[in-house]
Amino acid sequence: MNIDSWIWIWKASLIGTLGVFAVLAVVVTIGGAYDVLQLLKSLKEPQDKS
Amino acid sequence: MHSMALLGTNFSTIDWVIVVGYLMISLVIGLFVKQYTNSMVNYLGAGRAVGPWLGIATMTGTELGLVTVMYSAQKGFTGGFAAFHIAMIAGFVTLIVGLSGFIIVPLRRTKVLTIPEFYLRRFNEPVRVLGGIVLAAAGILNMGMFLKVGSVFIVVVTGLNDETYAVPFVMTGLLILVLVYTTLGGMVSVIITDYIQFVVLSFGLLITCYLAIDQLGWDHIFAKVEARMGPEGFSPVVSEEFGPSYITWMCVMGLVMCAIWPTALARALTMKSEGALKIQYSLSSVSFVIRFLIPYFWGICALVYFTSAPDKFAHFLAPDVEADVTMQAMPTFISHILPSGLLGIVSAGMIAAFMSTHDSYLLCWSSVLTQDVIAPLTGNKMDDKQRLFCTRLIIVLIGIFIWFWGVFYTNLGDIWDYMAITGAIYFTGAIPLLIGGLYWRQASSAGAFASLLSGCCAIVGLSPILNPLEKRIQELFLLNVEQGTLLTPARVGIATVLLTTVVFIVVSLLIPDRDKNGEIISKKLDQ
Repeated sequence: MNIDSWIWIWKASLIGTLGVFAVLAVVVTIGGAYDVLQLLKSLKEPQDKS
Repeated sequence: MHSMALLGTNFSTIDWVIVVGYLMISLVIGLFVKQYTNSMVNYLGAGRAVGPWLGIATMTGTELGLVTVMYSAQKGFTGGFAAFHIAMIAGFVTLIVGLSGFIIVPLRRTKVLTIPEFYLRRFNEPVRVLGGIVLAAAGILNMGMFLKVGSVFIVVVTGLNDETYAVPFVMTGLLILVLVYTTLGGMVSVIITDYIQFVVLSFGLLITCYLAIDQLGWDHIFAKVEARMGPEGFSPVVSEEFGPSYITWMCVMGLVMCAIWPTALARALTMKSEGALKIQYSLSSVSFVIRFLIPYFWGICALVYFTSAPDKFAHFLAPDVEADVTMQAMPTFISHILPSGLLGIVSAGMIAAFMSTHDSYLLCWSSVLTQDVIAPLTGNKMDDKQRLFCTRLIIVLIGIFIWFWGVFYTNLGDIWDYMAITGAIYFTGAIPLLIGGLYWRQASSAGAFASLLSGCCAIVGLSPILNPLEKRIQELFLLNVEQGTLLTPARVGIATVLLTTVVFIVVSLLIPDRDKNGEIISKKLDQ
């Protein structure tokens, strides 16, 4: 494989991954906040029952 | 270390305020969630109640540590775009594991808290104890450089005068902070601070990439690397730094990092369902790419940036540049291109990344030593309270060890290769144990024990042992090849994986497990 092909591959990898990660960051930020609340709630429940 | 004061930094008072404020918030969270750590399941496994999105955040928070950013940037600086293959392999293997559930799903079904606990349930007590000792020893050695590397980042970014005791001072401060909230909060505080870190760092990483490209120019970055490094800067196959054996070794590392390494598996064991686990792994494959790819890119951008002012940055561009100098390239670069304020946010995110990796590792190794070494050796008579105390005490002891290691171990070398080979002491033995233990009925305790012992051969890959050994082999066989081309850490690692696998299979077949009547038994854990 020549150098131009490698350059093309790494350019596409970088742009593609950064794009996907940007979307993932937004989704995980929102979904993760909800999960944090659920986690604290579930850990609190056994204590409340006792 | 070269004086960074001469190179300048954009780090100012407002950045200090941001960093200190962020650290204080982390400490408050550690104190706040203490109320939830009333049992070992909650302390070590967050009550097995983590949802998929939080799972992705915490997986990323753990695996995207400051040390990862530092060694990856170093690799990008020295290897160019050819280093990208490591990131792509890591992401691809994680995606395959996530989609198939290979290792992680059957392991979660066993409901164990630690890897050695799996060894006990699948094999026997001696395998568990030996596995715990090997795992903790390799893991603690593996994290020996974390504190030093993290402190170097902070010292360089902030422009603290390195002629004084800046690095040991920063090391001490960071270590105290990490120890306080890890010992107080356990896995719950780790997970929540991982989440905050994910949010801060994700956006910090993306904005920094944008600013780097904006400042240097997209095509200019590639053109400069091509001019300086030629095809070696892009092709991992022709690169002297990488090559076929290195790529093969990275395939093994890709599996290890997501499905064998205990800090990653600890996250899998906290997930509330198999579905959530698969989602976590499949989507985290993006994070497994990003955690390498972005720092590689920063290292490459640092190289391009320095070549634009070769006189000012001459010591970075010297042909025989030392590893401890290349390690400073990325922090120097970002301290120049990021404006004040944003530099504080990114630095706070990096310090959070540093802390999250530390707390996860400290929690992992200390829990292994408590649950799988000390508790069995004391007749399993320790109650939850004693185990919690023991775990917290070991966390402090490990902290003291890595402080001394960071101060007195000065021969850093290539950090990634060091970490790969110290980790290999554990995972070369663990690969056949986990895969064989989960999927092969004939896997026996004797085979597991022998495999764990043979995995210790990976220590040969450490440069203080490897270099004299290679020299001796060359003298014995009258070989005339360049030093470092015959025996490499990658080749030692691959050879050790093959050795442990063969030992595991052969010994399992020769010495199978038997029941009380002497009959051969084949085990498979309930699923």
